[in-house]
Amino acid sequence: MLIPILLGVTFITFALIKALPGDPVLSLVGERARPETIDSIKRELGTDKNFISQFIGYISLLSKGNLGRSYYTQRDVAQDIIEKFPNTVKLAFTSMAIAILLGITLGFISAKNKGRPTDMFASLIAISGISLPVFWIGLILIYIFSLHLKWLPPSGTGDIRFLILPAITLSIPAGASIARITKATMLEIINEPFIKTARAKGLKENVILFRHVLKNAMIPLVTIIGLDFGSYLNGAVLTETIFGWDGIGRFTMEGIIKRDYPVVMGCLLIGTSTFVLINIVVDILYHYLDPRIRVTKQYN
Amino acid sequence: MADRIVLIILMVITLSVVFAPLLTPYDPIKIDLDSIKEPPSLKHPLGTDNKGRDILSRILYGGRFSIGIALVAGIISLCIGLAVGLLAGYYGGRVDMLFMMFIDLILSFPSLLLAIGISVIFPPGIFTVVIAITAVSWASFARLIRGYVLSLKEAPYIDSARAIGCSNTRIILKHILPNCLPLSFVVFSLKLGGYILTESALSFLGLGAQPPIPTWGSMISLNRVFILSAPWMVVFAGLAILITTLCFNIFGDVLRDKMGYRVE
Repeated sequence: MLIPILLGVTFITFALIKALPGDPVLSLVGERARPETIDSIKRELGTDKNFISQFIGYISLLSKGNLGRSYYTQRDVAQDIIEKFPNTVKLAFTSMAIAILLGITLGFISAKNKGRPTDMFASLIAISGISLPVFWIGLILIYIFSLHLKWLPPSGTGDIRFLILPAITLSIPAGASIARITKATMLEIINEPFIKTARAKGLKENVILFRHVLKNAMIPLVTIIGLDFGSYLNGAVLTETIFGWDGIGRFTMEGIIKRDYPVVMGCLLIGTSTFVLINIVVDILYHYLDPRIRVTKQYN
Repeated sequence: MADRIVLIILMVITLSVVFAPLLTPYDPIKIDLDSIKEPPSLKHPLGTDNKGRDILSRILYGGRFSIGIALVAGIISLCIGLAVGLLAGYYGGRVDMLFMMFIDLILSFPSLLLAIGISVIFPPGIFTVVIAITAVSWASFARLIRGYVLSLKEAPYIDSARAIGCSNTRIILKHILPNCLPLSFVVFSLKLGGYILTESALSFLGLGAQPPIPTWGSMISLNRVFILSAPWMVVFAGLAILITTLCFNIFGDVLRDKMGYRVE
């Protein structure tokens, strides 16, 4: 399943990029270059061949682990991605940790106080979290914590001080959706017979909630947390751009603006393959966690 | 209770966006150098921007584009999703397999990245944003409706329809499609908030409607350099996105719970 999807993704990305307006060779040499120069550069970059042979050429390069060179910096794209990828991973994992912590707490509070004002308030926070424009909340955080209070640097890549604001920004929508799933799943499990048994045994309410309800709620949660990885990649483009975080997201955005096709291709490809891979891992994990589940999911 | 409040707010937003000229005397585009970066006051309730334009007018007129684009893209996605979902789900077999492969392919892209990729192909503008949002969002409709059709087509009334000699087209259009509409509407309202967010993200990245057309995303993007000296230029546009998206999301949630569907 992985290989055809990756091939398909490569083909779509490649077709998209070839459809882009603007000739990279012209923007490289300028409008007034001599025709011979343009021709020789085209031959060197291989943009004079037809679409299919370019695609095949790209695939054979890919199989050697080569993502090509940036049109602008002449640097190896694979090399650049290897350098920037850890930054994005660092950002994604930090915000995932914040999201899981905040999300499960919020969802737990909501489910525990179902129907009370506390629940309404917590639910409102959660649904607001998925309604917030990520880039806006990022700017507001910069305004409050960097420009006004001067506690944290507004942008750049580096130690933990640089990491806090972008990680919080990125964690908000993910945390909110984790909170919503936690609440919904916990409420479903509370109605199950084994919870009645636990109550009949005279277990304390908190023990029931933690040991029986929350533990069983972890199964769907793991899926959501894993599948939500795509939203980290989405959010990373905006968050890294705003906070000047030197990761894959910003690299992609710069590539798009400069029409640096190898860069865009490489980033989309790496982003999508990570996404697909994580989905597969989550699927396997899901089976492992809950033996009741069979692959035949009719619709989700 | 919550649904009524949200519905009222949504109606107020829609009406004030549609009747923007009656609510605000200022032109959202015309530059007025006599009133640059004025803080909120009685004359300009939400202040003015660096070109002296009234923020409230820009938000109201901008809402026409931000909400309008989300609505149009949502309706087109829904139509494509319905068509594909009905065909794939009803006929099954090779048609289904081909469509599902394509749907899985689209869904395996991080959606915003794909939308960005698509919107750089065409010249930036309203039309491009609609295409980009539609291209990434029809697939989830199609997948959901296909799954629903799979369960619908086993129902006894479909067998009876076939027994009295209805054609496939008639069964799809008269029996299955009407049954898909409530679910479609619920999913549509659940997704609408997300489309507003995607539109604003694309505008924020400069890939959406171009200046001087005001949209909420581009207002935040263009004004963000003034956030320290004139925070109102950025804050209110974001609040507009937040409140509208929030209302659509709550509305979708309530609707889903009332109809008893289990979709995210």
